[in-house]
Amino acid sequence: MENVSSATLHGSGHAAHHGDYLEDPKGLRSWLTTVDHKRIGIMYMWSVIFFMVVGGLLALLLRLELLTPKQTLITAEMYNRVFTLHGAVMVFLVIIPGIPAALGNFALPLLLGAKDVAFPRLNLFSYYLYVTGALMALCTLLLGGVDTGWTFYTPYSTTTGGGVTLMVLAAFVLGFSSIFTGVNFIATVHTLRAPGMGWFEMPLFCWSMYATALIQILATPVLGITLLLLVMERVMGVGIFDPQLGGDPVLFQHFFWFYSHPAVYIMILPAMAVISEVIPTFSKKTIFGYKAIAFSSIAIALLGFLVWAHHMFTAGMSLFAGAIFSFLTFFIAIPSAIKVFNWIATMWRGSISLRAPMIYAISFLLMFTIGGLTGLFLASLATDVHLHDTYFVVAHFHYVMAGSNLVALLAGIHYWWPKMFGRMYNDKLASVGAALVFLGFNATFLPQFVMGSRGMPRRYYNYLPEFQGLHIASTIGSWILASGLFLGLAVLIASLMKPKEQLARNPWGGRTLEWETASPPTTHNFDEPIALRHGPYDYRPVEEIEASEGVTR
Amino acid sequence: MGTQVSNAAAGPERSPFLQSHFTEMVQQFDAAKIGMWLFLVTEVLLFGGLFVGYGIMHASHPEAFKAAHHHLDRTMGALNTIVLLVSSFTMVMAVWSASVNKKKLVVLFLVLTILLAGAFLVVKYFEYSHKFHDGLLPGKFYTHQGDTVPGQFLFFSFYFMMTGLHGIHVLAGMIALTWLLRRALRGDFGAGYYGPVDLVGLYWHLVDMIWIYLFPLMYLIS
Amino acid sequence: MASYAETHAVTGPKTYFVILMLLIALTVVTVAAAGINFGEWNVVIALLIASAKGSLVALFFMHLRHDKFNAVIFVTGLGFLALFLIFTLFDVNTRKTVLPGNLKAPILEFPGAPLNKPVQPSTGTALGEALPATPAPPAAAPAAEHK
Repeated sequence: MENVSSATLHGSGHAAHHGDYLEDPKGLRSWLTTVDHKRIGIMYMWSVIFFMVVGGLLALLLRLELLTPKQTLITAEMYNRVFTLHGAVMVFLVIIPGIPAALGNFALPLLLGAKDVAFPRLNLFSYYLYVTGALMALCTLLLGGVDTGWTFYTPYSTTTGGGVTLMVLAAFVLGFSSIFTGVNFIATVHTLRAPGMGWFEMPLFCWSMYATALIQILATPVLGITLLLLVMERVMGVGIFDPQLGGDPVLFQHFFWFYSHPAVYIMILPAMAVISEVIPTFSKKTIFGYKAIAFSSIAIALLGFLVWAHHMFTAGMSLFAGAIFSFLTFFIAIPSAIKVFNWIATMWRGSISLRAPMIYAISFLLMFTIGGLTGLFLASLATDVHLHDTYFVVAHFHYVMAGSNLVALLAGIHYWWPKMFGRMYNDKLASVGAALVFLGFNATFLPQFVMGSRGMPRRYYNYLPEFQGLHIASTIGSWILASGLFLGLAVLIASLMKPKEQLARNPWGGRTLEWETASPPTTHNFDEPIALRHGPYDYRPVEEIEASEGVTR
Repeated sequence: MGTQVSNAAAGPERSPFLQSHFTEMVQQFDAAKIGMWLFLVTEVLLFGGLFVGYGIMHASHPEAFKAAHHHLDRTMGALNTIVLLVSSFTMVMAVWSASVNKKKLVVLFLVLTILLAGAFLVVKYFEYSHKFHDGLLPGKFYTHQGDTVPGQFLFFSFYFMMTGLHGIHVLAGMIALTWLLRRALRGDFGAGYYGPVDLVGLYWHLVDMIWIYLFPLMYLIS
Repeated sequence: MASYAETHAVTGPKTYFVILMLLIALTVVTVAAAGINFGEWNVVIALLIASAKGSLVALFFMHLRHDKFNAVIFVTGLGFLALFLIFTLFDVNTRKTVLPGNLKAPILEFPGAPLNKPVQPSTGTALGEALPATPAPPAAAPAAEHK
C-alpha cells in the first residue's frame, strides 16, 4: 500500500520530508489554524490544565470555607455559586474532554499508525466549540453566577436568577464539541488502522476510546435536547418540567441522567484506556486478558445506559423503576472488576519500574477500587435512602471522577510527555508529586465517607459542630493534594525550559506504535510506511520478535 | 455506473479531492460516510428527546393534546409532507446523476431540491403566522381565548419546539445544498467524486424522515 | 462495508420514482385513516404507517439495504432511543401521580393553564374529581402580566 503523501489536506503539493510537528510550520497562526491531531491535542491539553487549575482553586476555596461550621470566608450565596462553578468547570471543561480530547487526540492516531484522525477539520472545529463553551461558562460570572449545582435540577433551575441560561447553553455547546470528538474517533478506528492491524491488534487504549466515543455519540445529544428544553422552560414556560403547568420535574432528572450517567463512563473509560497502556509498559509484561479488557470496555459503555435512574432513588420515582435500576446497577461492577483483576494480573511477576506514570497508575487502581466499591452501597435501594445527598456520595464520585480520571489523566500526560515535547522531566520530583497527590486525595476524601455515613448532607454551607474535626482533616488533605498537583505541573513546565535534547524514540520501552517514531513525531507521524512486526504488548526481546514470522501478540 | 471510485484512487495520480491522511478514495468515502451516519444518529437522539417528552406529556394530558391539535391545518401538513417527500426524491436523483457522471442533471436536481425546501418553509410560514395570530403559542405566550379543555399550551409548546427545530434543520439543509450547487456548477462532482452530494443527501433524507413522524404525531392524533 | 460502487450499482431512477409514489400513497392512506375512529389505535396506526414510510426512505433513498455497516449504526441509534423511552416509562407509568400531592396551590398564570390538580397519567382527569368544565375566566389573567 502506498504511503507516500503527495498532497496536503488542502490539496497543494508538499515535500515528503517533514520536520518536528511542534516547529513545522512555526508561528501562532499556524497553531490556531492547525488540523494536525497532535497540535489540537496539545492545545486541548493546555486548556484542560488551565481549567483544572481554575476548578482546583475553586475547590480549595470551598474546602477553606468549610474549615469552620459558620461563615469562614465567603457568604452562603457565594458558596452556592462557587460549588456550582467548580462542578461545571471540572465536569464539562476538565474531566469529559480531558483524556479523550487531549491525550486521545494526540495518541489515538499514533497508536493506530495513522497520519491523522479521519476528519481533521472537524477536530479543529470541536476545539473551537470547546473554547466557545468555556468562555460562555466563565461569562456566567458576569451575570451573577449560577447557584443550581452542575446538575441544573428543575424546578429550582427554572426559577432562580443569574446566568443559568448561559451556563446551560455553554454545556450544550460543549456537548457538541464532545460529540464531534466521538464521531472522529469512531471513524478513525474503523478506517485508519495501520495496514495489517486487525481489531485485536489494536492497543487497548483504542478499544476504550472507541467505547467512550460510542457513549459520546449515543448519550450527548439527549443532554443537548434536555438543556434546550430547560432553556425553553426558562424563557417561555413550555411546561414540560414545571409541575405547576402540568409538567414533571422528575422527567428532567430522567433526561439529564440518561446522558449524565453514561457520561460517568465517558469519564472513566478513557482513564482505563491510559492505565491499560501504562501498566504493561512499566511492568514489561504482556497485558493479561487482552480480550477481556477490550470487551469489558464495550460492556461498560452499553451497560452504562441501563442504570441512570440510580441517581433518582429518592426523587419520587416509582419503586418499581427503582428496583429495576438498582438491580441493573450491580451488573456494572462486573466488567469494572474484570479490568482491575486483569491489570493486577499484568503486574503480577512483571518487572515493575516505579516511574511517575506508574505511580499514578497504581494510585488509580487503589482509588478506582475504593470508588467502585462504595458505589455498590449507593446502588442498593435501602442504603441509598440513607446515604443519598450526603458527603458519602460526594466522596464516592470524587474517587471515581478525580481520584481515577484525573489521576489517569496525569498518568497519561507523564507517560506521553517525552513523546509530545521531546523532553524528559525530572522523574524523581514528578514521583514525589504523584505520591503527594495520592496522599492528599485520600486525606481529603476518606473523611468525607465517614461524615456522609453519619449524615453530613452535601452542598451545605453550615454544619453541626461535631463534624468539624473531619472537615478540618479534609481541608488539610486538599492542601496536600494541591501541593502535589502544583509540584507535578511545575516539574513538567520546568522540563520545557530545558534545551531540547536528542531524546530516544522510546524512553519507556513501550511496544505500541507511537514509540516507533521520533520524539516529538514529525508532522505526518511516521516517516516510513508502517510494517506491523509485533502486537502492542509483545515484550519479548527484539531479536526474538524479528526471528519469528508474522504478527504475534 | 459506479465503478470509477476505486479506479480513480488506484491509479498513479492522486485525486485532487483525496486528503493527505487517506491512502485511497474508497477509504476517504467510507470514513466520511461512517461519520455522517454517526452524526445522523446524534440527530435522531436529539429529536428523540423531544419525541419522548412529547409522548410522555401527551400520555399525561391526552384531552388537552387532542383538543389542541384541531387547531392545526391538516391540508397544509399533508401538503408539506408531500413537498418534502418529493424533495427527497430529487435529492436522491442528484446523487444518482453524479454517480453516472451527468453533471448537468446534478445541477438541475439540486436546484429542484432547494426550491422544494423553500416551498416547505413558505407553507410553514403561513401555518406559523396563523398560529401567531390566534395566540396559539408555546408556554406562557399562549393567549388563545375560549378553550374548553385546559392545558392546550402544552401541545403548542411541543409543536413549536419540534417543528421549529425541524425548520432550523431544513434551513441548514438549504445552506448545505446551496454550497453543493456552487460546487456542482463548478463541475466538481462526477462519477469519481461525489461524496459530498451523497452525504448532504443522507442528511436531507433524515430531515424528511423526521417530518414523516412529526406529521402524524402533530396533525393526526384524534 | 459496501463501497460506493456497490451501493449505487442496483438502484436507479425507476426504483426511486416507484418509492416516491409509494410514499405519497402512504401519506394519503395515513390522512384517510386518521378520519376513521379506531379509538386508541389511531395513534398506533399512524405511527406504523410513518415507520413504513421511514423504512422506505432509509432502505432506498439512503441506500441502507446495500450498506449493512451503516445500517447497524443507524439501528443502534434507534435502539438506544427506544431504550430511553422504555426505561423512562418504567418510572412514569408506574408512578401513582405525575405530581406530588403536597404541592402548594398553583398559580393560574394564563388562560388555558389551570392544571391545578394532580393528574393521573393515563386519563388526564384530576384525581378524585372531574376537571372543571370551564377554565378560569380568561380575562382574569392577561398574558402581559406574566414574567
